[in-house]
Parts: sequence; C-alpha cells; structure tokens
Amino acid sequence: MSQPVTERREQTIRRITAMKKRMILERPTELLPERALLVTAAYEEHAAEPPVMQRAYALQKVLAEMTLFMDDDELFVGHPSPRPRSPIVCPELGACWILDDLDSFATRSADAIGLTEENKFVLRDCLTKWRRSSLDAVVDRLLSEEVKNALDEGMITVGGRGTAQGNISINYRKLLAKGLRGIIGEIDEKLRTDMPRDIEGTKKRTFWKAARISCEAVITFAHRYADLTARKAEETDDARRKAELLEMSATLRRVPEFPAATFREALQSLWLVYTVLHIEADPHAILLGRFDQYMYPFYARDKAEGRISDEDVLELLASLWIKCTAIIKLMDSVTTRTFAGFPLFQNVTIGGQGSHGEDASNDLSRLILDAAVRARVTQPSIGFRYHNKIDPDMLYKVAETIREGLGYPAVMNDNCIIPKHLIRGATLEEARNYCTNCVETDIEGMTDSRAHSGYVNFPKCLLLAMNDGVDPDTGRRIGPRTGRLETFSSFDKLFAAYETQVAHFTRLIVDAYDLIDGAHAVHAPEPFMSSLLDDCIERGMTRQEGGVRYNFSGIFGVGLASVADAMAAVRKLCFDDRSVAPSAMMEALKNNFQNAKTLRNSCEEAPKFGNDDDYVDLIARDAAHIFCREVTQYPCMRGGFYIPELHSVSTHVYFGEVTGATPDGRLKGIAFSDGASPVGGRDRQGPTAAVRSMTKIDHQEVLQGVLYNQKFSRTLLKGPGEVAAFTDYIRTYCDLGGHHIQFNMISTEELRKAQENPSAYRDLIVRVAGYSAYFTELNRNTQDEIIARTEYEELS
Amino acid sequence: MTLVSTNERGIIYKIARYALHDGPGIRTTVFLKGCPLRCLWCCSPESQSGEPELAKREELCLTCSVCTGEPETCPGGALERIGREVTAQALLKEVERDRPFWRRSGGGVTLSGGEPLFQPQFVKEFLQRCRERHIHTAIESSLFCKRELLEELMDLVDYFQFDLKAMDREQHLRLTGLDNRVILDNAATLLRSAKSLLTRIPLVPGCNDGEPNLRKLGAFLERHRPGAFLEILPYHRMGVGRYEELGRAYPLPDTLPPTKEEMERALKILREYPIRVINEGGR
Ligand code: SF4
Ligand code: SF4
Repeated sequence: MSQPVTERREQTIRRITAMKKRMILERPTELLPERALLVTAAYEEHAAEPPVMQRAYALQKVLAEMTLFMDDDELFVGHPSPRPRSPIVCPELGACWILDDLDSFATRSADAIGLTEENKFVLRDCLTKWRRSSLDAVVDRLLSEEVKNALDEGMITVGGRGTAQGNISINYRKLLAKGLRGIIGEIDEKLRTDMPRDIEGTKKRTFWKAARISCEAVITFAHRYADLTARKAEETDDARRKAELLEMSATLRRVPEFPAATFREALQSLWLVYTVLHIEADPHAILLGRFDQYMYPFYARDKAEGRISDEDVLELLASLWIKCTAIIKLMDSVTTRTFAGFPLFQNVTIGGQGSHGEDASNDLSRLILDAAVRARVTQPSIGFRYHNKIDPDMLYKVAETIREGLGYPAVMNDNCIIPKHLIRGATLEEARNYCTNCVETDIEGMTDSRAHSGYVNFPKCLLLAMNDGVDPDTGRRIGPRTGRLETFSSFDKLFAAYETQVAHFTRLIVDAYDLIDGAHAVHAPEPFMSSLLDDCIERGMTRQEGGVRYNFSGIFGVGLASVADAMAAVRKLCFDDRSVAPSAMMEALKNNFQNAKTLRNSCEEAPKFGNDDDYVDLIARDAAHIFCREVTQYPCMRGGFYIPELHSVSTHVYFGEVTGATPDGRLKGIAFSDGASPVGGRDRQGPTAAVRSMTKIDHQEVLQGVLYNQKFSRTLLKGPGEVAAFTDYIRTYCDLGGHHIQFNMISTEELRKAQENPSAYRDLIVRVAGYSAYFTELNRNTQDEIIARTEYEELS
Repeated sequence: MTLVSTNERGIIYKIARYALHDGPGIRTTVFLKGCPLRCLWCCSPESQSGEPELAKREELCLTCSVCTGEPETCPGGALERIGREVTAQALLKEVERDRPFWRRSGGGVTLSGGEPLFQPQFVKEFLQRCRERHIHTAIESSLFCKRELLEELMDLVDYFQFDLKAMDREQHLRLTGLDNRVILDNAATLLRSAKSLLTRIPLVPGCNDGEPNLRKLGAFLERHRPGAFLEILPYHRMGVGRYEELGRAYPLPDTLPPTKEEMERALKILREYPIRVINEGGR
C-alpha cells in the first residue's frame, strides 16, 4: 500500500537528516589502527608470497575481521572503516610519512583528525615495522638527488610517492551484469586454459589467483553484512525497519556475488564493491562513472513494474551522497594545508552522448541533481556532459542546480572531449562513453590515466629563465643555464629560455614518475580493483603493470595565467616600451618589490589574461602549447604516454608560497592562478571577455583537461530569463571549444570577504537593480545593501 | 539607407558585457555619456554631462602630499576617468567580440546612457553598421528627441526600452528639468507601431507615485497599445555613492525606496488597466 506523497517525502527528509547528522555533522574524525594491524598481520603470515598475493591475503583478512559499520537508518550498507569519518591507514604504502605526521594529525590547523594516545602508541609500533619496506620507503630510495632538489625547491611535485593513485572508474556495467561470481568464472577459465610456458605466464597465474582470492573475500564480506542486518532485524521492534533490514539482508546474500536484478540490488552491489576499493588501497577519486547510464535500466524496469518510486530513488541517492562524504582519506599535513575539507574527488557523471551520439540524459540524471541538492554535502561532485543535442530542459536544470551554490555540477564539453579520446586511441563508441573526474576524463572501466603524476611550477620556470637557472629569491641554481634577462635581445629569446626550463622540469617528472610507477607495479598491485578493469584479467596483468586497455600518466601545468601575466609585463616594460631596465626588474623581484612601488604599479597595469586582450592571451596560448608538446612526447611505463593538463587542484597555493615575487606584480608567497583560470580579480571585462580569453588556449591539445573556475554571483541567476541566458552562456563556452567550466556561486559570506579584500574580487559582478555592476566598485553602503538583500534571498 | 561614415566620435563611459536586463538574450550594453534630463532620482550622475570627467573615491585616497590629479598615476587608484571617445567602427569591433554569445542567446547590442539620442550622428552610424552585420539592436532612451530622428531609428533599432517618468507636464518639468510633450508624442508613435518595446516607470515615492500619475500612465498605454508591458522599477539609493565621488549633492536626500505596501498600491492601480505589469522586484 502506498503512502501519501507528503508523508513519504517527510520520511525521506527525516532519514537523510538523521544520517547526515550522525555520519557527518556531529561525527568527530578519528584515526583507528584496525586496518593497519590486520594488514601487518597478514603480511607477516604470508611473508614468503609475492606482493600481489600478500595484497590479496591482506584484503581477505581485513574483510573477514574488520569491525562492520552500519547506521540505524541506512538502506544499503558498507563503509571502509569501523566508523564514519575515520580514515583508514595503509602502512604498506605510506608508513614513513604517516609516522612523521603521527604527532600532528590531531593538532594540525586544517582537517585535524582525532587520535587517542593509546591508538597513537599502537600505530607507531605497527608503522615502525614498515619503515624500510613500505612503498614510500622504496620510492625514497629510488628518486635521484636532482629530483629531490627540485621537489625541495617547489619546482615540481611528483605523485604516488606514499599512496595509491585513483582517478579511476571500474567497469560497473560488468559488475552489475555478471556479479563477482561471473568474474571469478572468467578468472577460472583463464587458470584452466592458460598454462605458464615462461616467467610471464607464471606472473599471470599469480595475479589471477590473487584476484580470485580477493573476489571471494568480497563475497564473504557481503555475507557478514547479511548476517549483521539479519541480526539487527531480530533486535528491532519497529515493524517498518524490520522489513527494511530483512530485505537488505536478502539483498546482501545475492549481491555483489550474483548479477543485480533491481535498482536497490545494483546500488548495494556497487556500493559494497566501492567500499572494498577503498579498503584495498584507499586511492583518492574512485569515480562512480556514468551512474545515470549503467543504473538507468534498473531504474526504468523497477519503475515500470511498480517496484520503486522516484521518491524511493531520491532517498537512496541522497543516502549515497552522504555515504560518500562520510569516507575521508588520510592525507599528509602539507597536502591538507592547501586541500582543506577532506576532498576525496569522488565523481558522478551525468548526461552526455549515447553510443550513437544521441542525447543520453534521462530521468535518472535529473533525480541525481535533485538528490544532491537534498543531501547538500560535499561529495561526490557531479560532472555534467554537455553536447549539441542535449535536451534544453536538462541544461536548464543543470543551471538551476549550479545556482544552488554547491560548486557542482561542473560542465564538461563532449564536443571538445570526445575527439581527445580518439586522439588518445579509443574507438568512437568507447570515446562516447567517457566519464569525468573533476576535470580529467576517462573511458569508464578501461582507463588508468594517473592524474597527478606530477605538477610543474610555471611561474618559477620563468624566474629561472630570467636568471640563468638561478632562483632570484634564494640565489640557488636549480635549472639549466639559459642566460639572463639583461642579455636577451628580444622577448622571443626570453620565451625560448622559458621553454627550456619547462622542458627540463617536465623531463624530471617523467623520470621520477616512471620509477614510481614501476614501484607501484612491483610493491603495490591491486588485484581486486584490477579484476574489475578491462582488460586486466584477459591480459593477466594488474592495473599497476599496465593491464588496463588505455594507460596514461598526467602532468599538470600550474599557474598558466600567472606566468602569462608575468611574461606580458616583462614584454611590455622591458622590450616593447623599454620603460624599465631589465636589471631594475631583476632587482625589484629580488627585493620583493620593496622600494619599487612605481615599478610594481607598472607591472600591475600591464595587460592581464582574462580580458580578451591578445597581447597576453596569446602568450598564455603559446605557453600552454609548448607544455603540451613537451609532455606528450614521452611514453609512460605501463604503455600509453604522458598527457598534459592545465589544472592545479590547490598546488597553485603551495607553489605560490615557495616562489618569490613575479613580474606581474605579485608579491612573494602569494598564490598563483587556479587551473587555467585568470588570476583571481584580474579579469575585469565581464564574463564573456574572460571566456574569450580562456578559449584562445587550444583546449583540444590539452589531452587530460583544462579547468576553468568562474566566480558568479547568484544575483545574476535570479529569474527564469536569467537562468536561460546562463544556459546560453554555457553553450557559448562549449561552442568556443572549452573543455570544462565550473561556477562558484558567491555567498553573502564571500561578499563580505570581497569588502575586506577587494583586490581579489575585482571580477565579481553583482546585480544591483535591473543592472549589474562590479561589486568592489560600489561604495560601502551599496555593498551592504546588496549583502543584506542577497542574504534575504538565500533564506527565502 | 546608405552608410554614411562620418568618422564622428561618440563619447561613452562604460560597456557592460553579459548584460541581461537591457533587451532580449545576452547583451552588450554601451553606455553613452550626456543627457539633457536631470531626473532627481538619477542613479548614474556620471552619465549626465557630455564631457569626460573625474571621479574620486575618498576611501581609497592616500592623501599624497601632491595630488597627481591623473587616474593613470594615482597610486591609490582613487581617481577614475569617466568617459572616452570612440568611433562607431572601433566600437563595433569592440562589442562584436561578444557575437558568439548573441548568436546563442538571441542577444545583441544595447545603447544606453545617459541619453544615447543626445549623440544622434554617432548613434545612427553605429546602428547602421550593426544592421549591415545583422546584429540585433536595442536602445534605452528617454525619447527626448526630434520626431525625424525617431522615425529614422525605427528602421535601425529592433527593440526600444523607455521610461515614462511623469505624465503631467508641470510635474515632469519639476522632476526632470524638461517638458514631456515630445516624449509623450514619441512614446505614442512607438506604442502605436509594431516595434518590440518595453515601457518602464521608475517608482519614486513622493515624486511620481501619486494616484493621478499612475492612472494617466495606465490610460495612456491602454489608448496607444492595449496589452503593453509596463515594468515598475522601484526607486533605489544605489547611486548615492556616485554623487559623492563626483563631489555633487544628492538631490533626494530624504526619499526612501517604496515600501511593500506602496509597491502593492501602485500595482493595484495599474493592474486595473488592460496592460501587463511587471514587477521588477519580484522578477
Ligand atoms: S593621487 Fe590619488 S591617492 Fe594621491 S591624493 Fe590624489 S587621489 Fe588621492
Ligand atoms: S534620463 Fe536617465 S540618465 Fe538622464 S538624468 Fe534621467 S535617469 Fe539620469
């Protein structure tokens, strides 16, 4: 018997609110040693096995013995640690850095994690055993002095040194269609038919066995949860909850072992597996892929057969968002400082094209947006795939969701991205099935693209190019000798020197990351995740060894707009106008513009990226181009090649901290531009001009992606006409070839910040009264009035 | 009409890109400097004079020992030059950068002010150039212009937006400094034509919100274009700071924005007429 609609909705709200409160809002973070202890014991018990087997046995032990978490309101279960917001510890990957940070986890200023003295003692004891054998210890022994110097100087960063690397989506379709039993069947078939004739064959069999152990362990894990839910069903007196629990228990007996038959089963199946992917190695950014595509058949069938209502789906999806946010990852203090808020970069893709290029958006895509707004939590974010045939209503709904100010959905442009996958080697049908990370895109279930293999500090490369490879701020030589600004006869000479520096540091990252990649293959294979990625089973190789169909390593260029602004200033002042002597410029940079106020003024007045001014925009384009050319020439260890990305996550803050003053007038220590976006506050000609600057960069050749983060005032999205105009604005960005655009809706809190620190918000446009104006140009009273009004609108 | 390139320069003080309230779609609005009216509630006093001028934001002034008097060299960034000269050709080139956005949204260029019709030669040339390039054009005007000019514009402008500030001649003179006969004549012509347009009234308490004015306005619209859209713009004080920066006194020191009740009262009166009233505050 169905309930009345409002009552049903209230039930959802009650459940969501309660779960969110218990699992996130009122849940203190806590570091627990359980996984570390179980893994250590497993490695000790299986000391003679090869690493891939040790990893399988470790997973088996954890899944068999770990404390199971379950919230009283959950409708599907699974959590990677004994409690929500309790990160797991991977001693086999990061024992050294975790030991170093052990005393500061609980006290650090950003993202502190509770840790009792007793647990700290236990953890220290356990981690110490790994001091020589954990992945980070191995990597530390591999890296050259030159790379370590470049790391110390903040010229580059290199990823994967003490943690597993994610940005990957498993083949959810296959999991749901075959179940783990089906996957085991595939493995058994391989074991039966493929006998070793050489060492490669032996390695393959070892992997298959490890994968088999892992899959069986996950089935056992599901059965433990089935027992737990059955026991809870017995204990409760609430008839409705009892029914829910019994159904959950029955579901867990079937999935993920067998194919999923209903939406609920599919969700439980994928979530339990998702949980285990965290337990196995805890990478960041395990993607949920094209959720609205692989889940749609279940949704459509259940709905047609009356098994599920949209409200049921909303409830399940909102729970999914909460459960995603309840997982947090242990990160080191440096990363956390610039990365606050426990971001895990989980991501759901919606919209996009089907295999024939048709619009694939559907009712489930819309429900996903509604659920995210209801849950109002930070993870997972949503990537919306735009293309020319997109349903206008879908785009409108996306715009309305953006207005909610959650920071997502981000818009990804199929028109730009599908060709990238063709260049990267995919078939057209595969290319159309890409899913999104935050900016990167991968073909679901068959790509291991290792975003974050390394980051290059562009502006610091320029400083070295102006100063013969020596950091003007510290006087240390860190790059190749390329001459001094005073000796360059033209701007082109400076640019050539800059190219050499970028090439050098790109090369350093490649050298370092190839070694790290190899260390992962030997010491940190992931047999379980590999069994769910095409074509690892077929090839008999883990993803770390290159078993996945498409392999890449991504290198990120950081501070593109900052370096373009800086070069434009040097070009204008030292070469075109000749109003500043090169030696005076160098002197001013060295002294962080002290006593050089006029010079700094001129630097700030020079053309800035983001204003549709070719003078500087084309420098940005060229700087992006040479970076892409350098990166893509290198093959990567797993097959495939290196691919470039213009995105900084938050490394632009860190790189800014360790870089001296730059010719754009930026002082020492100040953050660089974010992604490929203009320097905050410097784009002053309105959003359309910024878009034109952004799209002068050739997004097509930046194979892993280009981030554009734009501040937008919610006051510009008030009425339906304004939302419609905004959708046209998004369309135009895509027409012009943009890869990705994401909007930061400005809250009143941020408007207040803009009052205090106007220079960072010069680009902020607000609607005043039938017209719009730059917020920082309004006088205080007007600003206050706008804040008051916006606040009122946010409440209503 | 053949294009007469006069090389006449216009003087503009601002270009707003991504303007959403000056006509259909995403618009690029050019603000021309100079206006024959002096509305007491004017929120853009910098637009009134036809000459470039300087504004100063005291809160940014560093009170240097010798004031440079030039925005280019003012270290505090307190000085701002308002107004620059452009040719129609250069202006077109500048705004046409937004063409991809117009194409998507059905937008175009809007000429606003000040009073754009105060620079007729320049405006005509610019609009002709837009016509040649199939750009959608809109104009925001007080309609204080010669009849002949309006007729020429009918061919050049796709969308008109104009205010009817006060219906009574005396009252109009008192509030804006000018007689309204030409304005009403022009408005009647436009309303009777087939042009797309939007009529607006800035609702200023104590100035033009009396029942007789509202009734006359309703009747006027009913007579000339039944079903016409009328947008009510509630008076606001967002311009006060601008007067300070220009060193001028604000003409309505004590007037407050209309209250909710005052707005409702005006709406109720206007809705008695067969016109479509848009309440901007509620949009
Ligand atoms: S130059 Fe600028 S900052 Fe200095 S006194 Fe004049 S207005 Fe003030
Ligand atoms: S017509 Fe417009 S610009 Fe001119 S004075 Fe009146 S409000 Fe100001």
